Amino acid sequence: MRGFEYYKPKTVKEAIELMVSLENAKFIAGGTDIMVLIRQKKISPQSVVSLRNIPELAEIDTKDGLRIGSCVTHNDIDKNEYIKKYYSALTDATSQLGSRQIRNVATIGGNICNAAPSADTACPLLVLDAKAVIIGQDSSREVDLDEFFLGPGKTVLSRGEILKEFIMPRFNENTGSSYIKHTRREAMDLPILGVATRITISITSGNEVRCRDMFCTIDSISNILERLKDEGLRCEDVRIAMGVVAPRPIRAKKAEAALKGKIVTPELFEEIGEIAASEAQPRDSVRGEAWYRREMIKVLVKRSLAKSMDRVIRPDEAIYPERLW
Amino acid sequence: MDDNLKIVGKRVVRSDSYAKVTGSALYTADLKLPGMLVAKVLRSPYPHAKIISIDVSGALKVPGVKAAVSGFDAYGVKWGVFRYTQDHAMLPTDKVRYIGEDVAAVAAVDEETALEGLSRIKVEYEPLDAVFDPVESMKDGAPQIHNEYKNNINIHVHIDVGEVDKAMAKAYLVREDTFKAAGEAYAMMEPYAVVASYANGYLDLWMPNAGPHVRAKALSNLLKIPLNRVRVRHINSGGAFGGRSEVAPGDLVASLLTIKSGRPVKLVLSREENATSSRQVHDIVATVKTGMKKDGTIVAKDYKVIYDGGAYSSTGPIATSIPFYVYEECYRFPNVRYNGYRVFTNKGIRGMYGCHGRAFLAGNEAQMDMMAKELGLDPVDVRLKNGLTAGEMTATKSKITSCGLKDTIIEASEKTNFKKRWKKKEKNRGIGMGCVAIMCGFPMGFRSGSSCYVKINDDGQVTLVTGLVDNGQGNESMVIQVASEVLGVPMEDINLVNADTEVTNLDPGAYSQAAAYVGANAVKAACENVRKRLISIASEKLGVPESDIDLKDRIAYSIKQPDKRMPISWIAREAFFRGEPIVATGSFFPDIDFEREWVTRPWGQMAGTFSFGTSVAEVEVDYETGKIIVPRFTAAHDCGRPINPMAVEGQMEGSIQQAGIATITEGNMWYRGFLLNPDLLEYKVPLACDMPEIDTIIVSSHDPKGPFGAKEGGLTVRMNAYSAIACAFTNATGILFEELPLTPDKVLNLLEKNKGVK
Ligand SMILES: Cc1cc2nc3c(=O)[nH]c(=O)nc-3n(C[C@H](O)[C@H](O)[C@H](O)COP(=O)(O)OP(=O)(O)OC[C@H]3O[C@@H](n4cnc5c(N)ncnc54)[C@H](O)[C@@H]3O)c2cc1C
Repeated sequence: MRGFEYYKPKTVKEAIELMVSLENAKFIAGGTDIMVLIRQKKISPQSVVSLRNIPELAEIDTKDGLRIGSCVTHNDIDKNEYIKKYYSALTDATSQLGSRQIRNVATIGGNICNAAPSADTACPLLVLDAKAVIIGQDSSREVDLDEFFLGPGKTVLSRGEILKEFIMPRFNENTGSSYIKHTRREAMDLPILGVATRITISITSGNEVRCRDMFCTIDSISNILERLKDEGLRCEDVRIAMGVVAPRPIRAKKAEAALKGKIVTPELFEEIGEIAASEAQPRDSVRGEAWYRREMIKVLVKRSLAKSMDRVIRPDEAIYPERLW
Repeated sequence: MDDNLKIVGKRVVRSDSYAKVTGSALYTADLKLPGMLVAKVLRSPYPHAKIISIDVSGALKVPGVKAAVSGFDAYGVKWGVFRYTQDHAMLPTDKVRYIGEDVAAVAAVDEETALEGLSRIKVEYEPLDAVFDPVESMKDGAPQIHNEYKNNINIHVHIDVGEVDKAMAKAYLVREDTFKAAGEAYAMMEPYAVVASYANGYLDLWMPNAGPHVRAKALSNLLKIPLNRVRVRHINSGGAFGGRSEVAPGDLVASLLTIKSGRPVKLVLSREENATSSRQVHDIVATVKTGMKKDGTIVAKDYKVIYDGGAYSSTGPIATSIPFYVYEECYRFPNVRYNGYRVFTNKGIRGMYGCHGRAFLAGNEAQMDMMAKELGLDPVDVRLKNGLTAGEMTATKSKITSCGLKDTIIEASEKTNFKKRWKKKEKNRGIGMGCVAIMCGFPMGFRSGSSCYVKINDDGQVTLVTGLVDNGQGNESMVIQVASEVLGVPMEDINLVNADTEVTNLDPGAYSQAAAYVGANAVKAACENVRKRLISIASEKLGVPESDIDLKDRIAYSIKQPDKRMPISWIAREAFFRGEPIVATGSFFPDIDFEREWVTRPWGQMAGTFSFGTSVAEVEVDYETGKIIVPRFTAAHDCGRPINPMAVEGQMEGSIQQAGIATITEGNMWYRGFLLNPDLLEYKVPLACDMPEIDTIIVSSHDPKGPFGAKEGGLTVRMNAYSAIACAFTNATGILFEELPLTPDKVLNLLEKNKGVK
């Protein structure tokens, strides 16, 4: 591994100035992606500029919706009860990312700026309508996360620009979200496939949902939905995002459109899974073959939607239902 | 004395635990010697290519590079465990045979300089056609990897007992299935490292090794240096699992570099190099044909097993045989034929593995359950019916002396309510059982025995000197515990000097399950000789007969008149006064038929004794994703008498991880000779959070010759854990596995292919 110069600016402004003035420099936050790339000789920066000593990048603000600084670590997110309750998909992702040691240093900004198709926080942020706040030398802009990724390892950030924070709106009360990371190990694994959903539902029958507890059972989704049919649950709004199925994390917009405004039925969920799968272009890789990924989209989109709905129907119950999936 | 043990059989803290958990234990990569250089190895980018030339002169021009070597600097000697398998030059000069093979190396003042030096080495290759699949490799016209082996068949083990075809024809039920398994990575926590230091004609080496004496002998041959000038020294080892048994290419590289430069040299492989270029596990294709009577009695077995041997012979004949033997040591086969072929391919060098032969073993066991089901029988009964018992002979004429197989089957099945749950299985759930036996040691000629030297120092403290080696399984602590029992001094009074070839004597090493049965027996014998001398002096001094004296808590005392007593340290001093210090040796040589040979004479007594075990796995299969979850795993192991039950349980638990859970996660993946998952991200070693609830059951069967009745601690679980998982999968789905690991995609494919099967 080649050596490099290491800088520790104290403010965003200083960091940007350094980045502009230095030759072949890179930002470093937790370093858990960039150090791997340096060791693999995929990049060899002469200097790295650390963002770890800039306090404003490490803040979480829950006053109006949610603002998360780019240098907030996964563990900080994981511990935050407010996020767990109202932005559950994000906690689903951070609670399973890497290992405790990685979560203690790795940041959400690094996860997104590294722009891996497998980045675990990407799908949750996509379904939570996150915007990225980007600061440049003498400008700043807000970009929808869906516009942020250009391809594997590629983002809209230009040289000298820094990702300051993510902002997310506050959602309607009957909203739940979830993220399912499909892996072969319980930790220290990147997803074969990741699916996040957010759903807002209304109960058209007007009553409280009678069969709340059915989500606690280990039953197939089709059986659960079959019984929910009479409740007349309507999907008012929905987001579906998928990771590792395309060169960048994507939204399944056709599937979203097909679900929005409809009463939830097992047949509809089946169809949504199929549509989402048709929106993906998965590849064969060491981690999984394309056909398997495509099959799993069908399964996991259904499961994630069910899990998100569960969080609406049983808000006070365990946020992480202990079930097969 | 056996029935009134003070420390053997007790749950003691291992002597090495404290240093390991506090991080103060030193490993090879931690060593720093004055003037030490860093070595780096240039590796073959081709799976198969002729070497036209190697020019290292460019490297030597880089300031800071102190030596550069290739195979042309070696002595033209090839390594092989047997005379007929000497085909591995370690640094080749004719051609390269796998991607990652060591081609040249430099030693420099630091890593960056060494890498710069490597980039200046010029190697000219002429690429050759390569072959990666053993079945393809056996065909006429396939690229020939070694001229000496026709059709690339490295080893053919042929065993034929009884009249297989006749018995098959008469059998009530016959079934034939083919099972495959990917080779595994050893994935030791410590990537391979070696430090070599040459001065005044003497070579000192440190490296993780499972047999210092065989290692030194191999290097003495490769370097043409007398054995007493090659000293393999003691150091902690971060895991072996079979992968540190043989001499490694890095040993030769570091030795040549230190000899050339005159300075100590350290070579540390990266995680990826450890996977591509230290040793790998054989991929296997096993065809298993079984004939059964209506009552479940096995009447005949007919096997054809193909082992993907990679580029060189390695432990070839042993690797080709072991899966068969551990199975025939478990069950009664009146008629059996085994054709094992080890075939060369252009892939990395392969060795023995703690869980060697999973396709074969899991295939046999899962097939047995399918047949039992067809016959309306229960797997437990079928195993009990066919299982060997003490006093019986195996098909290839090994006598079983002690045998707890039956107890392990019964205890494991009762604990899990097996019979009922197997028969009336719940949806998505399954339960399965795997059995196996293990030889404790195998024929290694004059290296099959061990000896030990013990001295009592003038303060009564004890020094043990033995060739026995520890790769993390606790062998060192085990012999200290044995010595403590015999000598009546606490474990902390005993210093162990071991695995240092200039000081210690031959020992079989830690890869044939011989450490307890052979190594600890030698320690026990030596300590008993010391004990006799201590008692003889004490008897004289205390004026009581020898038979009335016992040793305990550093004291020799009269059993009948306990106030007659004296410290052991006084006895030691008295002995020094007499000019006859208390020292003794002791040795143990197992009862093995040394006419036995892996290929030419595959019969006769294999080992002094055998251990037995039964594993039971419970699985849940997610039919939509193909994921298998293992909620609970139960293992029962007949280890003879457990010397330290806690250590035996640790081995059993590790085995459940490395063989049990690995059945669904671990496997090397290849593309045209490239190892696709040499790192720990894509090679899925199960983690603590992937582990099931574990129940370990130690079944004690006092072995008549084992030290205090001990045999071996845990390897049966490593050999049968994947059988249990495979059988549980079959129970859950009604389907036999085709290939391991049982990854979600393979499971989904199997379910799809067998739709409708129940
Ligand atoms: C053992 C291990 C396990 C892992 N497991 C997972 C996993 O399960 N899931 C997963 O998604 N990832 C995983 N990762 C990858 C990695 O940990 C995450 O992507 C992590 O969030 C990266 O954050 P970081 O702060 O370490 O980024 P760094 O490595 O510091 O930076 C990553 C990239 O982002 C740039 N960057 C960082 N911050 C900013 C900023 N504010 N503005 C502009 N550019 C910036 C850097 O220049 C660099 O190019 C794992 C990594 C390791 C080593």
